[in-house]
Formats: sequence, C-alpha cells, structure tokens
Amino acid sequence: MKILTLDEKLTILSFRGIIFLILCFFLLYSPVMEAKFSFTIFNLLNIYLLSNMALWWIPTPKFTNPRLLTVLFLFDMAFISWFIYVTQGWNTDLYLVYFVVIFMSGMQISIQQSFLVGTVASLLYLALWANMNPRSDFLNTALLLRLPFFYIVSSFTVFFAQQVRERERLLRQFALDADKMRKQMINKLETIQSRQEAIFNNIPDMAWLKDKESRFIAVNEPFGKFCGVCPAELMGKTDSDIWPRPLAERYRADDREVMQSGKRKCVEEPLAGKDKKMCWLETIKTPIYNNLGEVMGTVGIARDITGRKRNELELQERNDELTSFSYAVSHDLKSPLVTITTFLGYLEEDLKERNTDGAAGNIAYIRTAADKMSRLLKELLELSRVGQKTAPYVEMPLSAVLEEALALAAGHISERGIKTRITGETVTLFGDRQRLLEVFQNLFDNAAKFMGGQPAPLIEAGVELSGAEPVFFVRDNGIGIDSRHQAKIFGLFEKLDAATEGTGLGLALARRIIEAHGGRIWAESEGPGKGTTFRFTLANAKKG
Amino acid sequence: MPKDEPVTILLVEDDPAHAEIVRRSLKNFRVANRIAHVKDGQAALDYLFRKGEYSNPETSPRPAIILLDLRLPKVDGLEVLRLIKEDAELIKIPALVLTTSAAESDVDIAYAHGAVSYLVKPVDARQFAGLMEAFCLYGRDQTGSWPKGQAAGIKD
Repeated sequence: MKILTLDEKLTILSFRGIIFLILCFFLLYSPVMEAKFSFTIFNLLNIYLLSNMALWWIPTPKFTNPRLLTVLFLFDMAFISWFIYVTQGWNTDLYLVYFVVIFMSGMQISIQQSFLVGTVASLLYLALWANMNPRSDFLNTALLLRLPFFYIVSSFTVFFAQQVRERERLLRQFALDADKMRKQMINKLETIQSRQEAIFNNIPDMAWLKDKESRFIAVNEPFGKFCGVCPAELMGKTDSDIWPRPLAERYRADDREVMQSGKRKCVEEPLAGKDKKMCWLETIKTPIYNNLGEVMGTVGIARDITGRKRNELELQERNDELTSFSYAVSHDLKSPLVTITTFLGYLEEDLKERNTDGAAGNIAYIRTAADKMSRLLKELLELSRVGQKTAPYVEMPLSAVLEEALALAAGHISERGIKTRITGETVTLFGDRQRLLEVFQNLFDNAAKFMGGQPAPLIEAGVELSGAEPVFFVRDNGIGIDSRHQAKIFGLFEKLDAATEGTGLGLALARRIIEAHGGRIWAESEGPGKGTTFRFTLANAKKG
Repeated sequence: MPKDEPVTILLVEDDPAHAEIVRRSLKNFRVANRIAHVKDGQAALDYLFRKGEYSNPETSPRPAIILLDLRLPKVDGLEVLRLIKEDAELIKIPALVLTTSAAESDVDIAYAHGAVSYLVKPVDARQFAGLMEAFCLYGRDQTGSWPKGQAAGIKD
C-alpha cells in the first residue's frame, strides 16, 4: 500500500472542501430537486464520504489521537446528513449507517469483531426500515443486497485500518530510529571532532587544511598564533590574506604542484611570523582525497626548525674547524718532519765525508725543526683542551686579570722596552680564570711581537662600555695588519710573517677560548704601520 | 733564449729549511740557474707583477718556472695560482706546487687553479733528492736551456 505524504493529504483536504462547497450550493439553491439532480447529489455525497475515508486512513509518522479524528468525522457526517434532511427533506439514514460501519471498523478492532459491526449495522438498518413511512416491502432487492454489503464494508475497512496502523507504526518506528541514529551520529561526530581538534590544536607544529582553491578549511591554534590571527577568522581565506604577494603566490604554486603530482612536498625556508622574528620552518604539504579518490585539497604541517638549523650550522662550523685542524696538523706537523729526515740524510753524507763544519750546520737545522715540532705539539694540546670545561667558571675583576696577564707577558714587553697602560672602568668577568688570562697574555705577546721599529712602543688594554655589551680591547702602535689579512690571522698556524717567532697558534687559541666563553673577537687596523686593536666580547661580563 | 744563459726559478717557500733543501738539491744536480726565493704569497705576487722592491727587471728577471708552496703567510698558494692564471703573460710560466700536504682536496684544487704539477715533499732525504732530479728533468724539457755541469749562480 502506498503511503500518502503530507502533501497528498492536503490535496485531498482541499478537494474535499471543493466538493463540500458544490454540495452546499446545490442543496441551498435548488429548492425543487428533480430526479436527475438527486442523483448528482447522491454521487457527490459518495465522493465526500470516500474522501473522508481516505483522510482517515492516511498513515502519518506523527502520532495523532484517533479518538479526536473519529469524533471530528462523526460531527462532519452528522452535519451533512442533517443539512440534506433540512434542505431537501430526504432521509439520509443509509449514509448514517455507512458512517457507523466505517466509524466502528476504524476503532482498532479485529476482523472477527467486524462481523459484529456488520450485524449492528444491519440491525440499525432494519430498525430504520421498520420506522419508514410508508414502509416498503421487507423483501425488496435493495434491502436484501445492503445487508451483506455492510459485512463486506466492515471487514474490508477493518483490514484496511489494520494495514494502515501497521504502516503507521513502522513509519513512526522508522522516524524514531532515524532520530535516534541521527543523535548517535551527531554524538559520534562530535566526539571524533573534539578528539581531532584536541590533537590538531595541541600539536606544537602549525597545521592547516586547504581546499582545491587553496582556501583554508581548518587551521590550528599554533598556526593562528604564528600569523597573529584567530584560527576561526582564517576560514575561507587564502595565503594572500596573510603573507606578502610573492610568498603567497609561491605557496599557491606549491599547493598546485602537490595536488597535481599527488606527492608529498617538503620545503625548508626562513620566514618571519607576526612577531617579526625570523625563524626556519620545515613545511610538509600532502594532497588529500575524498572517498571517490578525487583530490579535494591539501594538508600542511609546518615545524619550527630554528634550533635544528642552528645546531646544523654549529656542527658545520665545528666540522670546518676540525677539517682545518687536521689539515693544519697534517701540513704543519709534517713540515718539520720533512726538514729533520732530509737533513739527517745530509748529515749521514757529512759523516761519510768527515765534514764536521757541514754536519754542525745540518744539526742546527734539525734542532730548529725538532724544537718547532715540540712547540707545535704543546700548543696543539693546549688548543684541544679549550673545548673541555675543566675549571669551574668564577667571577673575577677585569683589572686583576689584566695585571696578572701583563706580569705573565712581562718578559717580551720589557725586553722591547714597551710601555703599558690599562684604562677603562671596573668590570667583572665570568669564566675560566686561567683561560681568560691566556687570552690577554696571548694578545699582549702578539702586540709585543709585532711592534716593528716603533720608537715609542705602547700597549693599551681595557674595556669600552659605550655599546650594548662590554667590549674589551688590546691596542698597540706596532706594524698593523693589512685589511686583507685581518680575518686570516685567527686561523690555525696562520702567520703573516714567516720570520717571526711562534707557531701561529696564539690568536687561534685566543679565539677558541673567547668563543667557548660565548664571545667573539676581531682585529681592527688602519693598515700597515698604524697599529692594531684587538677587540672582543665575553658573555656574562658585567659592569661593576 | 741562448743555451747557456742561466734561467731563473721562483721559489715561494716560507720554511727556510725547506728552501735550503731545494737549493742544495738543485746544486747537487749541477743545474746552472738562479733561484729567486720569496718567503710568502704577497712577495711572490710582488715579484711576478714587478712591484715594490722587485720592480727592476734586471735584478728580478721573469722566472722560467715557479715552485710554489700552498700554505703560505699573508696570501696563500692557491690565491697566487689563481692570480697567475688570470694574467695573460704569467700563465705561460709553468707553476709547480711543492708542499707537504698530500690531501686529495689540495691536489684537486691546485690543478683546478692551474698548477702544472703537484709535488709532495717526501719525508725522506733520498726521495727528496729524486723528486728534485725529476723536477730538473722536467724543467729542462720545458725550457730547453738548463746547462748541466756548471756551478749554479744562486741568488737569494
């Protein structure tokens, strides 16, 4: 059986209204009803009744009180019957009996009970016949045909009503189930959503989802924080609303590439966020697909890798240093070895030829080379120790360190007749005292070594406090450094003048110590003959 | 160039002992030549480009061959090689690297900078002598004018 929808119910209702109006029109404006007219009214009344029945049995998912409906139906039929009787004087008893049959059949009764209904209707009809005036013959055809008809109508309508009730029950059950399922689904979706959001917003990385046109569908809190926007505000926006144009265009191109190739893309790039602080980001973009396998956008995750980059850079620096160290060792340590072995060969020849003068000269070369080698080894050992933190860091006044360093370098300073001057304010250093002493001592030694022919040699040392951090300096008025060589002097075994004493490790050692203390060192010189100033900083040095 | 004219070798070497070894080796093979010895990269460039104290072509003649250490004070050997290569005149002078480093990267980079040969200073007197002999043969080949059998006129 077809289940009528609400729309169909309304159609029947309006159809019924039209019939009702036509019926009223005929009854009111035809005072003398002829035989053919009465036939028309009879048919209209039948249709009206059928429409009433249809309305009655339309199953609806929404539960309506059947009693209310039956009462309405009762009043409706009683009103029509009364109206016909008043206007036309016709007896509508037959219709009233039909009404009783249909009414009772609709009262949720069984098929067996419908025979009782048929019997009641028959008895009712017989009673009406008995009161008929003038009374027709008992055995007329119409009467005899009507009696079984009541049984047929009652059993059919009961069956019909049962069917409708069943449908109605199913419909209601279905509606209930659907509602329950909907609630369950919503619940489930909400749970999934809250779980996903919990992950999405609590991962420290930035994450987002974009549709095919690169509009943001979802953005997590770290992303919003990085851009300085509330994540909800970014919905439906594109990269061009956040980033400068060239950058946004590149991101859009990346998205397209990922969607076209279907492959994940990984990019490392420096980028400044809302706080204008530059950081390194590693961005991974992956295409996402709907359940039909079509690309529906991209998912992106960006991670701050500034720390890793810094470590990489540091590692690279360390590696470079190690390379230059091993290079220097292989070259500079081998150099005296070449000298020693070669001159030993010459010495052997001298012994064969009993050439004592030549032998003495060759021995001198060997000794020089051996001395150089031992000095190199000693300083290399020194250098390798800088990286290891051996002594605890302590606070110490700068003036005490300077004085002690000057005393240690006094040999070189006094033998060249160099004047010294310590200037600057009171500053406290924090570090390995022995090492910091070495820094100053090396710088003093270096200054003394490169005085050249200066008639009034002077070394000044102290601290400048004009900048953001204290800058220490050791200044001389010696031979100076050509600007081209200023970076080279801090390298291992680098010597600008082959003739000067030393191994070329002093400044390299000073740089290593300073860098181990979180500072940096550089040399300034206006050129040859104009003196040199070494300046350096130290972390944790403070005034007072 | 006349056959008996002594040719000039430019030796760029910061270690005086090594310079002495080269000098003695060349003397041993009795090749008649002059050795112009400079102690650092800057001096080598000054010599080649005739600047400062080397501006007189009489006392500082064009070398026929250059023997260059890589690790040099002030300007290093590779830089010297690069500047030689850039000069249309100087590029004609064969530049040989003579150094202690046997590192592959050094060898590659030296050749890339235009060195014609790379000689590693051996840690053995006899080998050093052999190397120097090979160098002399090479030099004779290149210049065709290293008269043998005369005491060399060595200039520092």
